[in-house]
Amino acid sequence: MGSGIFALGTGAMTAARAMLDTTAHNISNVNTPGYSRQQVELATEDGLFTGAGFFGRGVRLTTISRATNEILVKETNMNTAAASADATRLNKLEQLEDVLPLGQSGLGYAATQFLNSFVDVSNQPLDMSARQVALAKAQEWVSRVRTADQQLTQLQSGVVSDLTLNVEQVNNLTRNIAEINQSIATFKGSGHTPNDLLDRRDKMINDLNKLVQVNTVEADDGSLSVFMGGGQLLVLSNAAQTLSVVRDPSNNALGRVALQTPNASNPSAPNNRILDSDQITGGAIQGLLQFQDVDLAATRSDLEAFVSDFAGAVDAQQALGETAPGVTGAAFFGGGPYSASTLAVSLTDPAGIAASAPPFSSSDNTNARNMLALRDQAIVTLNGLPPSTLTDAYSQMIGNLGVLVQNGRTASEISSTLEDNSRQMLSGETGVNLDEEASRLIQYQQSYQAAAKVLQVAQTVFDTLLSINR
Amino acid sequence: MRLSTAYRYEQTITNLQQRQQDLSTAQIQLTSGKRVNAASDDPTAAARAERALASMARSDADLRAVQASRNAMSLAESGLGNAVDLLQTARETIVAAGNATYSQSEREALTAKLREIRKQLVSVANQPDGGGGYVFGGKGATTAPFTETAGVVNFNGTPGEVLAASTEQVNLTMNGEAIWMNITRDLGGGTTESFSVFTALDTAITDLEAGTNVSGTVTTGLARLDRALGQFQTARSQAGEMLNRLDGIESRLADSKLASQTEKSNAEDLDMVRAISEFQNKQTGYEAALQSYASIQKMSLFQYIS
Repeated sequence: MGSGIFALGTGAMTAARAMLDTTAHNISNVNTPGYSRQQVELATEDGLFTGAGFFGRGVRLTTISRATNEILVKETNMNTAAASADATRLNKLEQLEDVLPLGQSGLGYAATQFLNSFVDVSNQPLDMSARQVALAKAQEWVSRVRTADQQLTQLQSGVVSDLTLNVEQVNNLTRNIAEINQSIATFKGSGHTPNDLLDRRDKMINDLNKLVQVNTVEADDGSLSVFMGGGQLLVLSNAAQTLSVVRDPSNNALGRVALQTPNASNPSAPNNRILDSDQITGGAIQGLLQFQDVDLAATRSDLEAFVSDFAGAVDAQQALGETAPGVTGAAFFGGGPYSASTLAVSLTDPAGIAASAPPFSSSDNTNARNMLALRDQAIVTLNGLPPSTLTDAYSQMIGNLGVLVQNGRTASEISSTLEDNSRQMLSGETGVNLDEEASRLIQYQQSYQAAAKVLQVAQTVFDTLLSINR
Repeated sequence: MRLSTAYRYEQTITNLQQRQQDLSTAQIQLTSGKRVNAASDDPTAAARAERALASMARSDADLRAVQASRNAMSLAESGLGNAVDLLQTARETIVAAGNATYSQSEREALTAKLREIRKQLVSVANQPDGGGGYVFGGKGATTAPFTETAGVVNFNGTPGEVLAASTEQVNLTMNGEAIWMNITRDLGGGTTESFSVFTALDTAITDLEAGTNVSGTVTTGLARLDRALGQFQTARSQAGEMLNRLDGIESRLADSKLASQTEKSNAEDLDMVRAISEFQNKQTGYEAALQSYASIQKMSLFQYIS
């Protein structure tokens, strides 16, 4: 009997101590990202059968479990990927918005002012200073076009360098997931879950989803296989694939994500197989690719259309005029083909502005007036729209861009709210609540005290027994 | 529902940052006075403001064309006024030369006066417009359009008018050939004669100096000068009419610019009263968030157990 109470008391103390330790572990990790609350699982020892019935044999520690919810984890990962894609795209879109400024700093205004300067040329066709102003206004427009072009080019190269960084992080994460898979598999036989390793792996999967959306499948040995949204395998058991960023063969400026595959003939230079964009369904990488392929491409195409249609119309009008009897006007902007990156004012001599229509007269202003009339002609054809005037076209361009940014903002707000909600639900289930831990602390402290009291009683009982012999 | 302590703090920080950001956006709008600072703030309004701005710039440009035209037409109008005065004087001189009691030498004194008038008429006809062109230069002349060779005044410009760069048709020059050179007179019986104001004077001077048919010369000369006077008066009233029209165009341009300014302001400017009250709302919200954070962070079971 005496040994029974000692064993019971010791067991109770061990259990209370384990629970206090676990509570302390929870409190320690209250702020650790990805940490899941742990809990000591207890069970009653099977009773001891005697003639008088079953005697309870106290408490048994079965294992330490972690709070988790597979469905919420998956949902959070999915929402993280979407939110990260939208936020990355929005960040780039906001930079893109600066390419087409509003009002007087815009290149639409500069183009209008260039045409407006022909009022002074037509007022006094013989006055070289009015013509000089027209040339300066042309230069002003060109330099704004060139600035916009440089901004677009910089944004594009920013996309490629961001892609490279992100892909590098993906490779690190998948390598680490493969390693942690191996560690987890070795504990599979022990019957206990390596909670902190699992937390770390879940955290890595979530981090991976910020970069690229992935799905996971758990194998029997506890290892997690990781697939990209479109089904491309990234991690299988303890082996990870390597991604890289390559240039698009059809357009050298664009970046593409590729999968490295072994090169039998030259192992040090692996082959790169470009992954289809539909393989990448979420995460920052998807946001970057979407920005590059949709938003940046649309703005670039609008700018190029605007530049080439407007410069073309001016050059064509200039060619209809004459600068001397029988001499038609030389091109203002080089005569085309026009590109925002190479646009320049090729006309340097103010006398080269063909203000006169044939037959030539140096005081005739007919062609200068026709040049001015370009303001009202539908000369710019933006993608898929009927031709429109200069001002309408630029308004359309900034409107298009504004709508892109606005939509990007809305998408990002929605997806980040969804991410927040699922994160809140998941953390509600798995996170540490300090009030809860404080009350558990008191609860387990009292259990510990009670267990100690049992031992004290046992000792007293034993002492009483011994004192009979004195 | 359970709440994770770390998440709660994280959420509080996110909310505080969000409110701070809202406050800063409201402040940017207040200080710039603009509701639309980027196209994405309101793409439609940004496009409207862009069109209105272009329309304002356009009104300014068109106004310069109107002013150039006004300048030229005022010069033309006063030039034609001078021409009319000169012709009146010439007319009186020719009438005086018809006086039968005048001797040939007295008439020659009068023809000298007529030569002087003719010289002045040429310089009025060649009046420059101040910008390298000529008011009566027609469709174009870089040198004086009326030149005298071997005692005959010719028009060297291109007939026609230079128009100003305006949506409404206004002139930068007048058709000098039509006004000064192509004067017709009905001689009766279906015949007409065509002459210039200069040849009319030239013929009168030559014939008066010859002194053969003085009264015939005077009659013909006066008839021709009257036709020329009529033509000048017509041209002068055309110029005056043009000046009137320019006034109308100018005020329409000013109206259109004002309308564009209003449109631009409506599209992108901030309703200050509303903005200030929204700013104050946001400020109050931020303060409330700060206060609730301060009081909530004190609430923990650990505060009560020791």
